[in-house]
Amino acid sequence: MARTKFVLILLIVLIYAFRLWQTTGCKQFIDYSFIPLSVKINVESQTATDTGINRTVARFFHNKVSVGIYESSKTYLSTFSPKLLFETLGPVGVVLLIFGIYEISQKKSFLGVIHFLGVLTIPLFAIIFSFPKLEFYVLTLSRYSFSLWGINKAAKSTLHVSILLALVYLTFWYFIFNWQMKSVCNNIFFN
Amino acid sequence: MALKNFKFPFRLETRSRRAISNYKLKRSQLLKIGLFLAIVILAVVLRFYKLGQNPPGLYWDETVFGYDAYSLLKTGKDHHGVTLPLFFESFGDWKLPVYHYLLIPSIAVFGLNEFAVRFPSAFLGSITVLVFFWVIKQLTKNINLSLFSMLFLAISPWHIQFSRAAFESVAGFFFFMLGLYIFLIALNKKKTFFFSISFLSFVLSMYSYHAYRIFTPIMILVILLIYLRELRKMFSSLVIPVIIAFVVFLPLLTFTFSANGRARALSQSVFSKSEFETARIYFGQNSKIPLRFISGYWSKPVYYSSVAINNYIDHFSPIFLFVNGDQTGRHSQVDMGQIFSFELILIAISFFMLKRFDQKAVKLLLAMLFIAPIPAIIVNPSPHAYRTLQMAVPLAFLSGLGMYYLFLNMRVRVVQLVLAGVIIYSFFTYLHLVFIHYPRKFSADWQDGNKQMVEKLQQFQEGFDRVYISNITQVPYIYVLFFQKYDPQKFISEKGNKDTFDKYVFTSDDFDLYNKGRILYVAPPWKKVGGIWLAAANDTNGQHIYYLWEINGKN
Repeated sequence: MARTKFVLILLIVLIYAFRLWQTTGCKQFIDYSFIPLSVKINVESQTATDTGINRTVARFFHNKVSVGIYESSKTYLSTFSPKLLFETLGPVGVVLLIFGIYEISQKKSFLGVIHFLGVLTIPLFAIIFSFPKLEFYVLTLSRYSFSLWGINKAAKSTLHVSILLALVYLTFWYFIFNWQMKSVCNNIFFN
Repeated sequence: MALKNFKFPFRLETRSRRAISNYKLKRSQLLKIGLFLAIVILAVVLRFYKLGQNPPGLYWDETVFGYDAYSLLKTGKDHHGVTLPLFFESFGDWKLPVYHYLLIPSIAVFGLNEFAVRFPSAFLGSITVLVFFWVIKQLTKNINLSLFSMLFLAISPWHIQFSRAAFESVAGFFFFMLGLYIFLIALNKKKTFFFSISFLSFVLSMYSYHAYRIFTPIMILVILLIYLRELRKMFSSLVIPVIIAFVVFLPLLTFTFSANGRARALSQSVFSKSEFETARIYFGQNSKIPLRFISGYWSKPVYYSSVAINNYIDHFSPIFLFVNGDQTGRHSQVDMGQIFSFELILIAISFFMLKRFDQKAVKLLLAMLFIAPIPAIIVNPSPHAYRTLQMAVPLAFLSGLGMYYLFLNMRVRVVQLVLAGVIIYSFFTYLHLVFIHYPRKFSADWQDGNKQMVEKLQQFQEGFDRVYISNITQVPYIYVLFFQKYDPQKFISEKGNKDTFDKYVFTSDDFDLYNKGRILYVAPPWKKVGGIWLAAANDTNGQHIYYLWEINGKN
């Protein structure tokens, strides 16, 4: 089983490397950083709809605090959009990620919990700073590494290994079909 | 008599044997009953308040439902002249029958108007909240959790949105939940009768809305698998219900595989050969150079699986669920998610609680959550809140479970207070969005202005032999029929159709209007017309939707 796991890990690392190699044509990575102006725009457009409503009432529902929380959570949550996860990790990576969370919650591994917290907090840097390319690679590598926690759970029997292999195959084709990576890249081309 | 037999869903316990005839309810039980009633009232109010005015305007699907039901009531035929149809011809597709027939008593009582058309939806939506309570109570045997879950379905923006308009999915959802509830009872009682009613209810859900033709059979399979051990012991009780359900299901099965039955799915299918070829060729010409040769090995089934995966996962996007929702104005508030943002925290907490409950119940509800998007993966657009309304139930359960943990298990007052504040604020913000913003922002999505057009028409049409109406909204004829309560018998007998009936002609904008004698012309507001301007038909926000002109007439 140890050898099978080793082969599986190798395959998964290879498929991740393949995906990163595909991103080399990306000329402009999507910027997930938070734009404070969006708060002002949101408040103004919402209060503009409230014509004829008492201004205090309008401001109670549409103010910089509530809208600020809304807009910043929107930005943060967009880094966890399933499409982005699938486009970077592929179906096999997402399955491993889920198994990874399950494994850590079961075993209550300290290292695992720290790793998981890292996966949750790294997007905060992505939304605070504006280095889209660097952010993408840091975000993706953190998720790639975390997904490997799921290997033990996902490969506990021959049937599981077979399913995982089928998922690796599906992931390869998923990466081929979604080569433009619309959640990752604004502009991709190869000369 | 009915009131005398009414039972609350809680067992009322007596303080002592001596006080059996005059028992007092325990304080906590009273509180639970009070909460239960308050949630029911809340669910009803949220679904019925200003039902006729908000959403603004009557969407054409709602209008044709209403007029067909009116026609059935008056003539026994739909407006195409088909006697008691099982499947209704709509605009380019075919509708399933349940909502139409549910509308008949509503229209008989309330008349042909917006409220009557939306009444079955709001009514079944409210009842679904009750049924949901009983389902969770049957599954978990936990009244507090059932109450919390019920509360989240009662205030679910997703469920309220569809319950406030004539959406067939609400009926399908109700019959599915009812079938599930009766199935759970049948498991306990082991009675053929209950299984029969349950299976019939499941079949009715399939007759209600297209998505349930896929969702319900898969869910039935999952339910049977989950309760296989129990069902094996009562095999004989299942034979008759299965036969009855299959016989009732047969016409739908035949319809599903007919050209009419596949029309809707085909018109919106994501599995397009041309799209596959375009994507393949584009990949072959533009992707990473060493990989381009792979375009020769693309396989359609694998490509379609990839498209289906993309559509499926869209429905679990946190942005869709908690932030922005479905971008079709009729399907959500758009400025907020399908459910409340704070539910994300509750749902996340709930996953740690799942192990404490009956695993069959957990499997059933999670299966519902993960199967719900399947009907939406084969069609565009995605994510689609209407086709996946079934997700609202497991999400409400998970939110209820998270709340149950925070309020009854954790007992950290600060967290409870903060959460209660957030919930109340979010709820009032939602009400503000529904009743103030929504009618102002989304009247166009509901084709508002057509009712006002017909009102103006009624005001000016006398004295004109012919009325020409622009068909920029594609099917204005249905609004003229509906809002004038036009006699369906007359419409059928004079062989009226979407292009003309009586003195009305529905035309495209390039039609020559100037050699038709004196006519009344209903035109889009941007069109230049050489005639006498009579009036404007505006929507509820005062936007001009139509202008009425007199052509070739006297001043």
